[in-house]
Amino acid sequence: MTGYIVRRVLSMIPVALLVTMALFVMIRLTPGDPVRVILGQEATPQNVKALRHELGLDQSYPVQYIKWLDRLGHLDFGRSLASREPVRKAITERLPATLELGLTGFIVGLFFAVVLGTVAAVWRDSVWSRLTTAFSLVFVSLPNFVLGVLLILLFALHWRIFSPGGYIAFSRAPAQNLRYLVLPASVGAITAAATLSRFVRSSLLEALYTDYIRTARAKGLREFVVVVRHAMRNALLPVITLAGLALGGLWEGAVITETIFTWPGVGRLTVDALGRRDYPIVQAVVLIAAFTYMFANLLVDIAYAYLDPRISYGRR
Amino acid sequence: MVVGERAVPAPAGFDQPVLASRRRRSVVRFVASNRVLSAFIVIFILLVLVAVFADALTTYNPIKTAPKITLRNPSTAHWLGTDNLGRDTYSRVIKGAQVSMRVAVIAVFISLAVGVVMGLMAGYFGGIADLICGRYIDAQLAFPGILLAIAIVNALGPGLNHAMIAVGILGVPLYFRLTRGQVLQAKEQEYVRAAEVIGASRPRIMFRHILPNIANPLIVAASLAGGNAILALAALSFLGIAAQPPTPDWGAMINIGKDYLQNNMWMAIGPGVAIFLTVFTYYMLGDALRDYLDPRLKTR
Repeated sequence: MTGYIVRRVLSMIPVALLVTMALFVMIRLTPGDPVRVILGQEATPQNVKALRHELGLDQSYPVQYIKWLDRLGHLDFGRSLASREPVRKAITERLPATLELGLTGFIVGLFFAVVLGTVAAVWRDSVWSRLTTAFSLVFVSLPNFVLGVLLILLFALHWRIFSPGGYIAFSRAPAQNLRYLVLPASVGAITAAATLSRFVRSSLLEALYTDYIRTARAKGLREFVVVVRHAMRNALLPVITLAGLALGGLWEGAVITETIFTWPGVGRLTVDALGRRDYPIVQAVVLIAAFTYMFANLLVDIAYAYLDPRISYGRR
Repeated sequence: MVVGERAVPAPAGFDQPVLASRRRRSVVRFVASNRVLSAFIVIFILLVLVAVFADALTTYNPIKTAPKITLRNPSTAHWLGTDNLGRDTYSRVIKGAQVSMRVAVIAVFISLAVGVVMGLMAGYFGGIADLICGRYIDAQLAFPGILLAIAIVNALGPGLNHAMIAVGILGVPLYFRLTRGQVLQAKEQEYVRAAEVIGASRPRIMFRHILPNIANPLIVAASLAGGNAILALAALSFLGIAAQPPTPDWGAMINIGKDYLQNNMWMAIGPGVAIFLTVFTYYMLGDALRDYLDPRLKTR
């Protein structure tokens, strides 16, 4: 198992390098001279030259890339063009809000996905199954920003149960924090439940038609035991992959949901930076998101190998 | 019936017309026996017609502002009311169908062209070509979709054309993998061997012999990817980096409409319903097509 993990981690290195290279190229493609963006159009040629030298922009691209990689290794993402504060500081300050929103939505969504998917698979011709399938199809087709607008319209503007947007740290006012959290987290939860419940359903349906389930039933086991102890254990394995990817993709939801609900997280920071053309922030967030995604993939593979003994992780 | 036909593939060019007409009949039978599918095919055709004839269906100029009639509620004059600049929301939603569909079609075409060429080269040449293309796809898949699109548009500059390229790039891995897999199977077939023996050039073998034979699954995948492309473009427009004002684009309309929900909710709901209906139709057609192509699913 250790050998498998080491090999899997090593296989990430070329991909990680390619990811950084792609991002480096994109930074270079970015229109406008960063020095002019920082200093303004009125800057003297001497000042431009000095800053270009200070930022290392007068060196060749390979040298710039290696130096950029070195800075990334020290988690130095440069400075925001707008506020001049370090990008790392800007991101770490907003990370707790993003994690709170993203993880709440994901965990609640995963719970409902398993419940709804199981109901739809076990009682496959019932009204519940049809309702679950309809729920999943409707909310997979509904973009999260439309869903967010609908929730605001109903629960904030019409019934006035929740606030249409805002944030207060949990440590400062827990009850108020939760009140702000409900609507944006619901968007994440509903989207995750709609996507994942389809896979839980099809995966469990597949498992329920296997020989070992027939054997379990033939032994006279109760249906609950057959489904939960026998079918689900195997059926949920592929769901782990998708759940891992959904967890790695939390950033995607954050960008949209935080914009709608004015939630001061990393997603909102990214969108604001896009509007101000503050490239270092956008590139840093994309890079962190890509590495989180790769890391989530790695964890999924390890969890998979650990949970499913049929998967060979020995040498080929 | 269908299973039998697919289980025993006909030799290329032998009794294809007979099979094709039989298959056409079975498609018609499948559609006719499935009322929901028939309904969604009709809706899809209507959506395409709306996009094609958008200019004839709009009741007002969708980009002309009218400061005196801003944020009006729905009425007989303005079916979905007016927006913050007095533009008719219904006309903008209709024109938005044209913008969204056109952009989605071009984005899918970009994905298809790049993915298929890369897949053909990787699958046919193998070796270093396969390695380079495969690693590129691995690296691309390391980025969460919409964030990669954001990074690309960030680099190229905001605008509908750049967003279209970004969404096109997002779709490349799907076609690459599909094509590569099909090519790996096809290049072992006798017709490819025969073409090699008679001295056909490699590009000729790839594009004139292999590509037509693997086109069906690619066409199916491409026709269904429109829904995803519309969703991705709407998200980029919502974030303000795709369609720029005054272009009537559904995502951008929701972005503005969300700030005026109390004045005229239809500014956001109108384009929201349009996106939902279009994507939902795509997904329903996709599900039906999958059921048709994989009859095992119907027995469950």
